[in-house]
Amino acid sequence: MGPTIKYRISEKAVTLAWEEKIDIDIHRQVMLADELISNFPFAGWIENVPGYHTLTIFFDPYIIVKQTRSSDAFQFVEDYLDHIIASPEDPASFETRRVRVPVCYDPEFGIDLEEVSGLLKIGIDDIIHEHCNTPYHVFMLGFQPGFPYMGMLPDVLKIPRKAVPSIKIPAGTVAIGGQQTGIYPFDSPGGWYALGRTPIELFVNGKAFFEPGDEVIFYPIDLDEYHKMKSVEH
Amino acid sequence: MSIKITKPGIYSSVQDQGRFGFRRYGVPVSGSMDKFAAGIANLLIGNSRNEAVLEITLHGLEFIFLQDSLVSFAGGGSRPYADHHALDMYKAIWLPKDTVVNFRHHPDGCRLYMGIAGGWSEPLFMKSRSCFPTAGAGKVIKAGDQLSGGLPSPLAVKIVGEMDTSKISMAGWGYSETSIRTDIVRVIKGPEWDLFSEDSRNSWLRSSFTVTQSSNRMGYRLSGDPLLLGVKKEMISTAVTMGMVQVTPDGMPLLLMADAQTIGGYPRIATVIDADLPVCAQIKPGDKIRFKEVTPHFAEALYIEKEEQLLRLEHLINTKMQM
Repeated sequence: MGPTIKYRISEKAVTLAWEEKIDIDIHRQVMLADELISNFPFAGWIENVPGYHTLTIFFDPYIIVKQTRSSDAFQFVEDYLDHIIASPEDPASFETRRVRVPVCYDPEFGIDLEEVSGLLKIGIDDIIHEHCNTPYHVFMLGFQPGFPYMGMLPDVLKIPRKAVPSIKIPAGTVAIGGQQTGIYPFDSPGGWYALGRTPIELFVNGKAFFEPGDEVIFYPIDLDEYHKMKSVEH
Repeated sequence: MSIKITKPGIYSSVQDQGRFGFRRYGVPVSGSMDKFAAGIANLLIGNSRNEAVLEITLHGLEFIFLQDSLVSFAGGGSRPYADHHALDMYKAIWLPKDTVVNFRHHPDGCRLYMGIAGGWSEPLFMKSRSCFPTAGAGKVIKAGDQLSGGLPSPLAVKIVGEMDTSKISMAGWGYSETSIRTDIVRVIKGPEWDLFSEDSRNSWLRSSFTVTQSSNRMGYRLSGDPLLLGVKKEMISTAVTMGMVQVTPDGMPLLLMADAQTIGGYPRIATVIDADLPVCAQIKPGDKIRFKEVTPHFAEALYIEKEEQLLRLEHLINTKMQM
């Protein structure tokens, strides 16, 4: 199914929106459209930004008007998108990259494990088991460079965001909020619950570790392994 | 090295026209807040428009030249002085080694751009020289820092050829600044415009808003009549861009600027048109602004007109220096 609406967010960007929900099948269609446009860009195209249910396409209207002889850049982009998105594609055809991510759930890093256990009435071992036992889908990167918004969290781990955000969540922290899980690439304030920490660096020398559309599996490691991997990283 | 910073001032950083292609990884575009003034500063000294300039917020910055340099100044918020002599704005200026330049208070505007022939040669990081320390791109200017200009273009060499290089010299020609000092900012309707109550939509277009102290390169918090949703709706985060106005749950608008996050989850009442982003860049905390709606078609036409204005200036300078 194609996008349901198109809307302008500025003179230089248009957003394609699918049904407004957080859903892996919808996101695969977003990623397919992203791939199509990146592979067959139009004159003046700058970049795409995939969201959960949206794809935003940035462009330079001046280049479009000069190079295509179209007098209305937005109309040109709309027509282009209608044509390119019209070709029906099977969302399953989007090639998914699978990534395994080590997480140390030691209480030293999983500072909110006990609180989550109390709030959700589930044992700490079960939290870790549930968190590791689900493949997650990277919907988008944002908030900080390289921060992956991943879902869907199993229902037993669904948790509202903290009423008062933590002032400093350390880099590498793996956390949950709502029906999502994410990893903080840099120290920052945040409203999600910390379950553990990964030794992997998420944004190094201008390179993000994740791509939108990745499938992620967490696996537990102990403190020793964490420190070993961390020293290899450096 | 071309200059050494002796006083850091309030906030200065090296910026070009932005970092593109990485928004999908959560990396903001950054770049000069006033991309028009930055573009002009570059053109006046024979640079391409995208070269890195020094963005100087308000007054207080001071530095000394370590070698002879061809520079230019555009924008507002301060005025450059060499010793006690005011340096012209919007002109190519030759400054000999050992000249001390400082930036004094000026009531109009907020950000001044200093170009140097060849551009400031900060390292390229993700295809841009724009400072965005969070991602590891560059640093905010501090005392003791040294910055270097790049290789002057053949056009810059011609510009210098007409000057007396034994002392401070200013080109006999320049750009005449058309006033951008206005408190009216034009917008197009945002994607969630219809979700706001009729009263709030009216307030948005009829009342004025004050830029608060919580304003920086990421965005400006505005205060004024609270803007409320007529229809309550839980939004799913999606891409946002410079100029967009998000409204937080307390009803206050947040105008996104150059270092804004790439995604947002608050309803967006409007987007400032590209041609008026320089106006926003030159607004400072305490200033009042009002918003006026225009059609997207008009916004696009104005954008194209602004691009052509810069191309005309580039063409004029090229033509003049060939005569």
